[in-house]
Amino acid sequence: MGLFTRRGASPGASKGRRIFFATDIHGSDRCFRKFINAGRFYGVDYLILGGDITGKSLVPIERTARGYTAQFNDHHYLDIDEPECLALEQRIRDHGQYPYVGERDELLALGDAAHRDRVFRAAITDGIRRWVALAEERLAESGIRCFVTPGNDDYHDIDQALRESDVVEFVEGSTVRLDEHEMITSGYSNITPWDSPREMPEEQMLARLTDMSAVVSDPENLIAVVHPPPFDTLLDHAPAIDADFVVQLEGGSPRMVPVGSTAVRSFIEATQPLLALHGHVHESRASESIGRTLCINPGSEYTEGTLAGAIVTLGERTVLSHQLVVG
Amino acid sequence: MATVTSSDIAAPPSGTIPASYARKSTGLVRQIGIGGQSVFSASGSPLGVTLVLALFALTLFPKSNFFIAMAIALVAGVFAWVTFALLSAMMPRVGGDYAFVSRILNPALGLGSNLAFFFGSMMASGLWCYWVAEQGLSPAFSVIGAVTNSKGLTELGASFGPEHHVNCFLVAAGALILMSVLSALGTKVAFRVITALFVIAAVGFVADILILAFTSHASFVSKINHLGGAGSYAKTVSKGSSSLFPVGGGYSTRSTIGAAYYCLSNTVFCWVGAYTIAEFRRAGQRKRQLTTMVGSGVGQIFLVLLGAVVFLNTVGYDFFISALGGNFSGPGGSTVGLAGYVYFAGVAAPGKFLVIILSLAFMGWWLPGLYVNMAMAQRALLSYSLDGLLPRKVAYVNPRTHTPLVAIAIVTIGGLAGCAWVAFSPSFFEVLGIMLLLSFVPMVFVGIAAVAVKYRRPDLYKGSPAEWRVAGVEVLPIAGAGCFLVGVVAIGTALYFHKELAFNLWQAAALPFAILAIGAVWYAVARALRGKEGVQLDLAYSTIPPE
Repeated sequence: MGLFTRRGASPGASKGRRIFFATDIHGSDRCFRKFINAGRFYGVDYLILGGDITGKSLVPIERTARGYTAQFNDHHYLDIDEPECLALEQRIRDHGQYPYVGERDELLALGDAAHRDRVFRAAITDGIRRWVALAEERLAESGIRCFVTPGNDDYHDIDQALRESDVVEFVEGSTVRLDEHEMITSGYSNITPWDSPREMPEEQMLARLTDMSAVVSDPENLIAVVHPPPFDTLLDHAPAIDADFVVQLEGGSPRMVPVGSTAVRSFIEATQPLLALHGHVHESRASESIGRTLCINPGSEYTEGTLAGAIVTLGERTVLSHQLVVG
Repeated sequence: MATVTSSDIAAPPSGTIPASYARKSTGLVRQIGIGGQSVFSASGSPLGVTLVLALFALTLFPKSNFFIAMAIALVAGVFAWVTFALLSAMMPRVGGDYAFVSRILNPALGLGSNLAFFFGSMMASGLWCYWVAEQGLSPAFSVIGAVTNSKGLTELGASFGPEHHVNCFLVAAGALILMSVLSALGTKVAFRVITALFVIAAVGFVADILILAFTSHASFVSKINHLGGAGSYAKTVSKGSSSLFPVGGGYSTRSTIGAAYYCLSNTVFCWVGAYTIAEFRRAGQRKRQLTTMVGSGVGQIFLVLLGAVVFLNTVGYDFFISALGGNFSGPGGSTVGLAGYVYFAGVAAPGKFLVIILSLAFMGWWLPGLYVNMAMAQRALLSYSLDGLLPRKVAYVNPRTHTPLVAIAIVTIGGLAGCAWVAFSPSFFEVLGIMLLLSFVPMVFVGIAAVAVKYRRPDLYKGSPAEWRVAGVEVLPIAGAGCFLVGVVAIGTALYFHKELAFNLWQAAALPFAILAIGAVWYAVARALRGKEGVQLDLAYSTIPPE
């Protein structure tokens, strides 16, 4: 056995079924296009997008008689023409934000929280519809199955747009079969300080995961896609914040604390699925085993349009190999 | 640039359109203060230690103009700080030079370049734990012994001097193992200890400088004469070789260039902040990165200069250089050069109790410095393992303490080897010189990456915060070219001054190339072995075409 060879791995490892898992792309158009292309690029059978797929920011672009004006990514765009504006809009989308073009009074109206919320939701849903159309165009006839689940940061508004597709499979809260493996998926997180759209208390989450796994025929071959990582592992450390959301320092460096889910940990310890795929904590890109379960959080680098992911090769009741990639 | 959050942050002033609106969502935090981030960036070079090391330039390069040397270091440093700040704003991720070079240029080159820094960190771990004895215990006991008239303490201080190899090695090994155990017990424990020590040392540093600032030169001379005997100050100055002093303002250009290299190598490494910069939210903001990285570099140089001015004004340039050369015959005088400002601040301090406190406070610098260097090396091992360049077991984390025990063990062993090298080497300057030389290697390649990024990774560069123009001129290519040149010139200067820096010219010249070759072979071997597992290592670095 060579220095770099994992126990149980063999030259034939690549013959197993291959999964590409990415998560937390937060509205980045570029990341989604890469995700769709990752199937062919990495030669995988399944694409799984594990939640937090929608963006967090709206970038106003003011339309005037002289052209378009906006500030984005430390750049001030003043009176640019329409083609330049279209390029800027795409750049904004590539970084996971939503452009909003309007006259001055339309943009000032965003100061009203209720109106802004409506605009946000419309932009997010439109974005998901565009993505679904793109996936259908690129993946149809490819033989690659594409699974998508929302995460805790995603409004429920997007579910319908995902459900309507016959190429993108909306798997939130359901059990699906991937050849000899079964997969359960949950995009809900434990309670966060931000009161995001899909959160639930730990007890409720444990009950939900336990109920989902109860119908699985072979737990030893189970893949669990659960958005938050298990508590107190390499996968769940984020900077501590105080009540005012200010990052806390210790020794001149951010104080990192576990923010994962105790329910997810308990579920993994009790059920021992073959593979657990997580996201939620962008900073904690890592893999770690809990008992026989290989847990992976590929992290997220969506702000720069880079797609962080994991390629996992599955065998019968075993993970033949896994690799964290940045594409 | 303003960002307004949907509900928990106040709406923008009426009539203004903010740059963006952020909805309430996970991870939306208020950014850490610029001051806090600057301190973090500067933590790789603790202020008190930087002052001690920078003042060594006066003995390594006699007749050098320290202030001009620092000014040159400042100008040269700006190229590196701007380059790292802009690349960090474009790619706000953990990994620093390894991430930049491997993603922009080539993964094998990224590994080779980072290996130079990794080996430098391992050597630095050995050096810092050695300094616990030679620069911590030795001057501390010497000063306390001197002011309390305790011959025993003075002799104890001397017993940790550089000629006592075994004593120094044993103390150093103990310090290294202590920090390894603390690291293994948990990050929280280690951080609490180093935070406490750092704060103590920083308070002591400020007190030292204040004491020296409020002590007149005449008063200082009087205290030296009282401590070392009548006329001790004048005798020390006269004993100093006249070749060490700039007679009539006659500074040596050659020595000043050497001192500039040495000062640069002690102050430039604020870019180490780029290694962990992704841990800060909003790390992808150019202004923020520039302010913190350049600010910490400039701020540190300013504070070191301030400390040096205060110190040399009170103590006297000629006296200090002569004392560094072992010509001061007062109690503990043989070790005075190791921590000059602490020793002489102690001499000037009113009251024995204060002297003892300040001397002990100075020791607070060494363990945090040791921890930072060990952590850098451990972090590199984890990155290599995560990317498949090392066995996965290297990234094994103990489930109870959540610490990477294998990586800690490897760094401990490497640190002990480095420590033995320092302890039994004829001069610790040899190790220091090679360590600093290796640390410039990543600068060279990051500079190339900064110039090449617009051509090799336009997807990353175009429209990013790094695409910054001043008066229509792109800054990153210029800063990158400067960073490259500074790195190359620094390495060339170090080799030119190899005698002063006490290392073998050809060995030192070959070392960076040897490490780059190791990186290339390492990558090829890992790639082949991973391939047998069905893992294509190249995929870890390949960009998926989005179209």
